[in-house]
Amino acid sequence: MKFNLAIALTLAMTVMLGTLLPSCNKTTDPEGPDEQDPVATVRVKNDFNNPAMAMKPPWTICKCNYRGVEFGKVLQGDSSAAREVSPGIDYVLMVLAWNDTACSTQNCLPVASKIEEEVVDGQTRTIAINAPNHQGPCPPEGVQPIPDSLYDRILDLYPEYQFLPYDQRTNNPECLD
Amino acid sequence: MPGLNNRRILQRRLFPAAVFIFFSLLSCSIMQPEVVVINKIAPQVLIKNPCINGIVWNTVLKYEEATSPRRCMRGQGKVHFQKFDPYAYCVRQVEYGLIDTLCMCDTAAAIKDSSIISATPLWYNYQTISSTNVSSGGYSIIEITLDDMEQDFSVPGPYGH
Amino acid sequence: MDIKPVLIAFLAVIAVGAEPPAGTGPGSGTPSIPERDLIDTAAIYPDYEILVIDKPISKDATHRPTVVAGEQIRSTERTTALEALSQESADIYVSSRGAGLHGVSSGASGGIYIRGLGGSPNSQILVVEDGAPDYMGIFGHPIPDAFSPALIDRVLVIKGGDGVLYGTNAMGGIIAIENKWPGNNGVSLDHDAAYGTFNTFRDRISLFCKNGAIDAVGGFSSFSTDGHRDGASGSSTAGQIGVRFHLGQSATLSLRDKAIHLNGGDPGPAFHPYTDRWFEVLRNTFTGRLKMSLIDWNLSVVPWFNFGEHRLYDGFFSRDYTAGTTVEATRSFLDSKIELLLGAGGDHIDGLVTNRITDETETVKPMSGGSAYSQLSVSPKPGLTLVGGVRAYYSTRYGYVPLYKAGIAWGVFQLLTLHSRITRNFRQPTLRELYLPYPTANPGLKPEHATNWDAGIELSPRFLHLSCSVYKTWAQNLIKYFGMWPSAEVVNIDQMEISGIEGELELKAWNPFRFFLTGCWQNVGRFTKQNPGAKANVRGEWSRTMAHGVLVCAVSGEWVHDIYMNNYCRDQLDDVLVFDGSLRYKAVSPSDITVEPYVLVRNLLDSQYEYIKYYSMPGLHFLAGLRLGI
Repeated sequence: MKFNLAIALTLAMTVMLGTLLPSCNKTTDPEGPDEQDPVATVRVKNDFNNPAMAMKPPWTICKCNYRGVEFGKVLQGDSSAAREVSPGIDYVLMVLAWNDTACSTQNCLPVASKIEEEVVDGQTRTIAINAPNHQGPCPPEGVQPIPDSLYDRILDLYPEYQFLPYDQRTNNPECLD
Repeated sequence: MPGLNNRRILQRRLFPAAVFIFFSLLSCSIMQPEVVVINKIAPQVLIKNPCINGIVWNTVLKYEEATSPRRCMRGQGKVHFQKFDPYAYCVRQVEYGLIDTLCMCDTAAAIKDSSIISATPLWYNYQTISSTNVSSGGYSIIEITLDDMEQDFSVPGPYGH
Repeated sequence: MDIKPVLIAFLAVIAVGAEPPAGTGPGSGTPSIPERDLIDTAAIYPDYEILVIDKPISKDATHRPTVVAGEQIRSTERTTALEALSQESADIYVSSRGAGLHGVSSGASGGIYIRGLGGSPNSQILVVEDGAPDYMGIFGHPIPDAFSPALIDRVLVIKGGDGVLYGTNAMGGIIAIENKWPGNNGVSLDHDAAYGTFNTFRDRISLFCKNGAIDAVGGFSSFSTDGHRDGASGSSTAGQIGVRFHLGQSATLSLRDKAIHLNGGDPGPAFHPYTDRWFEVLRNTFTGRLKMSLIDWNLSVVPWFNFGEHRLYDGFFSRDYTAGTTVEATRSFLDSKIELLLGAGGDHIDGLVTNRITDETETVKPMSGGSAYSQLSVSPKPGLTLVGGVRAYYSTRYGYVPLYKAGIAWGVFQLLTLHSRITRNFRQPTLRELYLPYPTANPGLKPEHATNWDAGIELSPRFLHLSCSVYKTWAQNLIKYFGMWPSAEVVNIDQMEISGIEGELELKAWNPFRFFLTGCWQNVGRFTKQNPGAKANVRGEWSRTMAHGVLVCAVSGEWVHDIYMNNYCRDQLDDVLVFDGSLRYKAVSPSDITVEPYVLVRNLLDSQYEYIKYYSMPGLHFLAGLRLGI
């Protein structure tokens, strides 16, 4: 009898607290994920001219996509307009133009952020793209080459630039300059 | 508890145990494999701080120079090292106008954009493409060659990558 | 199939072997010390047993802490004393990187995870030694290598935190260390020296002296190793002294000082070792404790002062100070059916940080805080205990922070206990997070909060101990770093939910064998950075009484599953499966001198494994030693 009571009490306690506590969360965090779709506000900054960097390559961000949201063109030192994205983790996928703010196709290359950038629900964040935080198809010695998975994602996003397939990536016109 | 017969215990228990432990300790050290690394890349290329399986030689190797043999952890591993090519370096310095002229590096087409490259000689991280399996008690000589090396981005390089 | 008859029959069988009622037994709703923590010391070091069992387990009877005797830690097969705690409960995880030192700064191991919180940062776990919090003031976390076992009586790991009783940082758990005092008049000395592979040398001396109303203790421990690979060498030296005065029948005043000096380095990944990334740490902790009975109240006053200096290879230099006092008063009412605890405390943290190479000094503002707290324990019937508590923490930066807790423990039978607990805990940002550019600072940070809940069941008949707990944690306002230098940011933005289950099984009365198994599974969501999804520890022991002593052979093992170097299940490591062994011969001479030669064999299977990616652990290695007690 006592045993049955004990089991029943434990189960009741577990269910009660387990259901009670998430509702406590909602009270303290009314904007939490259970109330509405999670969202983060993101800007992308062209930080290639950051004075703290030893290397300041003259890249212009011509196209930029993060977690499926377009951020458009971003000149050096500028930040994009704020956009709402779903929280999570992903690379920033871009088309960059070398020393060309007009973004002529022959000066462009598919480039990604070096690290997977994360945003969480409710966050407002500016993601900086700079010399340490990028990877491309024909980088100089010491800069990480982009893997094929990211390269192909950028090609799918921006077919109008007619970048060469991954195995011919070093023959893109900007690489040959 | 009965008293200890010290001499008997020493003779029959502690001494064999001590001998066993001594040889166990010794075997741990001598069973580690030995490795030697040789720079066989190209006559003008220097390599610095080659390392594999937990050991590093803090040295610079010129072409065909070898490290001393050292013991390392067993297992599969690549040789990681830093590479510097003085010839390529001086060509770039001339190309970007940081050096006016230098006999064999001289070139007519100087870009004169010194903000893009650094004047400081940079050692870039490289690793062998092939892995070497060094097993307990073994001795391996690893030659680093031009067709068996690739850039290494597993540790930060000179640009913070 | 109706399983109830089977369960009842199983319980009936267990009940036959149930222990007789005892005041501190499991049936009373108060946690008991597992017998495995006592048996060896009881046989060979009788004084220690008295010291261990002569205290209440915890101030909160609904805690189910993991209790580890000091002797268990000193004789562990595991590499460091901190890892010995991890061996005792599967929901405690401690990372390791080599043959004896955890290190500080980059490449350090010794991350302590308790039920999914802690580790990174360790400041979510609070270490309390003799009632005084012990953490590095600027970085706000305990130093793993400062956990020196020479004088430890026992360690309580309170899982799920207890911000009401312990204040800030007690968010994921508390490691409460209690040091020993001598039990009998006279002098006793314990010396343990060992030497092993990688030129590893370990020496521990502890001295206990009691003369009437004065007790004195001294401890010294030294450790040095060349390490199993380049850059992994290091040393630690720790010294402790303490004196306790018995002031009449009902009061004691104790003073302790502990100093520790660490030297070592970050060995870097095994494929790219570092040999020049050294660190040097010097720390000192002074703790006092006045205990007295005043009318019907038991009063305890604990002042502490902790300071340290840290030097790194890159010019980093810091000097930090933490100081504070805790005052607690307890009183029982109605034949101990009601126990009231009232407490107050205050602390102050300050420090300075400079770069000795560039001569730049970072601006760090000190933090102060004060608290008042209370806990009420009610036992309306034998075996049933209800606990509630609140703390009002006032910080000069954050104003009032309210914390609370509630718990229940019910000894249904003599052998069966049910328990559940909920706590609201917090961690204030560290001076590093607020002010230092590593990699960035944010002076506007707010405290992290966590609500931890657990519920469990314990069965403790004579021949086994079986327990199981489920737990869940909701944490908000987590401090998180985004991006990379020079554009990183640190903000209070994240929230997490962790749920898990852990259990223990111990077979006790199967002489000459003993067996202990603990396992844990948890869902940490996307917070997978060094936070394992599952873990199990096992220990088997065989002993044989011989003509002059006892031969004890033990094997312990650890299995860690689903470890990742980063969140979102990125950079997975292979599962860890490692076994360590020990062989000890414990003998006592007619003149009461204990002689204990031993050998520790680590990584028995010579496995290749790692807790931190590319920080390969050593293969099979040995440590042989001799322990003398006079």
